[in-house]
Amino acid sequence: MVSRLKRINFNWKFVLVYIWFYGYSFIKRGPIYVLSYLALPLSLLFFIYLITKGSLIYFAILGGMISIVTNNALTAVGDISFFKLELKIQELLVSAGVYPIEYLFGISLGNLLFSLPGLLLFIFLGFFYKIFGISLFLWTLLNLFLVMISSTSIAYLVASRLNHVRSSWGIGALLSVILTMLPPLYYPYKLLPTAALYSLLFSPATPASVFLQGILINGRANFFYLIIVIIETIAYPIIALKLGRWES
Amino acid sequence: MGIVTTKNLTKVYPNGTKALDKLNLDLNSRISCIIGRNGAGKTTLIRILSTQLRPTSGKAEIMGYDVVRDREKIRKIICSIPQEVKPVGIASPLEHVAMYLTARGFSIRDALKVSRGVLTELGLGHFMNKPSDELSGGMKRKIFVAMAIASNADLVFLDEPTVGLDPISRLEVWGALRRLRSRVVLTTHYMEEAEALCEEIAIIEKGKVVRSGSLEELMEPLKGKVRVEGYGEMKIGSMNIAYLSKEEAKIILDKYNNDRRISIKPVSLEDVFILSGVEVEKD
Repeated sequence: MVSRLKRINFNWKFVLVYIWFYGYSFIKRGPIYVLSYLALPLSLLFFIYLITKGSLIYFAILGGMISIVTNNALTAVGDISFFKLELKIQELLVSAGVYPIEYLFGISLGNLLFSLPGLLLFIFLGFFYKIFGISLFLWTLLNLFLVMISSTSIAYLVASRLNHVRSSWGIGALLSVILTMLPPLYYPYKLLPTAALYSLLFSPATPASVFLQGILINGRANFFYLIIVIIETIAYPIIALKLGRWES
Repeated sequence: MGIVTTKNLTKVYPNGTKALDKLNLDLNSRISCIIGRNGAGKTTLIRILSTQLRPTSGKAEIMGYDVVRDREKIRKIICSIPQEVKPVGIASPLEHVAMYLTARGFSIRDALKVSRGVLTELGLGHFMNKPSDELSGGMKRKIFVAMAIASNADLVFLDEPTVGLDPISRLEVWGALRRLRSRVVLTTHYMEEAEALCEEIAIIEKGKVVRSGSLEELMEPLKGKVRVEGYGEMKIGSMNIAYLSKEEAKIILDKYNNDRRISIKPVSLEDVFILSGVEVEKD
């Protein structure tokens, strides 16, 4: 894999233009999509605020940010398979000499750009409720970036193995529930039994959330979970590139 | 070294469908054309030649490069536009073409400049910044023709480039293809397109090349003949067709007292195509 990556003259120009193509054009011409991906975290924020009388609002804000990024990444299951199977855009790119890692980066960073309006809103709320010190804020940004890459890799792997677009939307929604609703994003991770917590670590959202909640609650970081996020950020793209179907 | 050379190229899909059956092809002209019926194997051939699909057996080379072994080298010199490619509705024609050109290694500035020029040339100047889902079907198709023209590739594969275009748009595309410096291999259902554009034509039936050569070479067996519709033993659908000399045709027409069901037409590539299909059906 490493020797293969060395051979690739990484085409950043394509990645940049793909971010514009896939991220910016969707924000510019489809703001309704941005709103639709914000609807769930904002609704949960509202309910959590009501039910806990504001005491868990911190978790809802922090978890909401991870949820926006992960959900946007996972909706790429639908987009990637639609671009591949229906629009044949992937076929066009394969014969143009694009490497899957460039495509993966383009989609990941495009998704990150697409997530920005929602993230900015939650960052504003975070500062408004005085959640963020400079340290937690920077750790949050790092974790969001890592989660975006690992989650998009999962989306790419799943989407590239699909033979029919019709299954993609359902699978994307299912993955979204498994990878963002079950993990401790909107609730304190300490509520979870240890076995359940460890079994949910496969979702990049889990270690990222536990790491950030550790800083939020205890004021100190448990780097074990950050290491897991980093390992997943390296491992998932490698697995996706190895097992994903790029050519026909 | 041919531009496109295949030897005993065979493709069998996992479901058992044999799309190509020991296909032998040698294309050397600037614009070559592959014609054939639906399901004849044209798209499978183009996908193998453009390194999308691997053959089951046999060999294919693009300008001396093997489509399996040297696929990364081939991708640097070709541009391939798939038959069913469609634009992403929310992105504009300019974004599509620029994205494709940067994928091929253009700088962002050059990609934008070249994209604007080619889109204007193809009549999409006023629409280049609109979302693609606001464009007509023909305009959407032209986005991909623009990619091919702008790509500056040594060899361009176009799978049915003018399908769905109105006659004027088709002429615009033909004009742009003629001005291209690249070599072009295209597939088409339109015989007049092959006649107008291609220096070399290969007819594919059931995964094999049944005839190939220049238009004149392909038309040679029908030289001096006309097509008589409504008469003869060769049956295409509900229509009887015969290929006769002008004199024979005139005798037939007189004999049937100018029966309106019988008509005479000059022969064209379509007739070579029909005869090829009939011969394969007989086999």
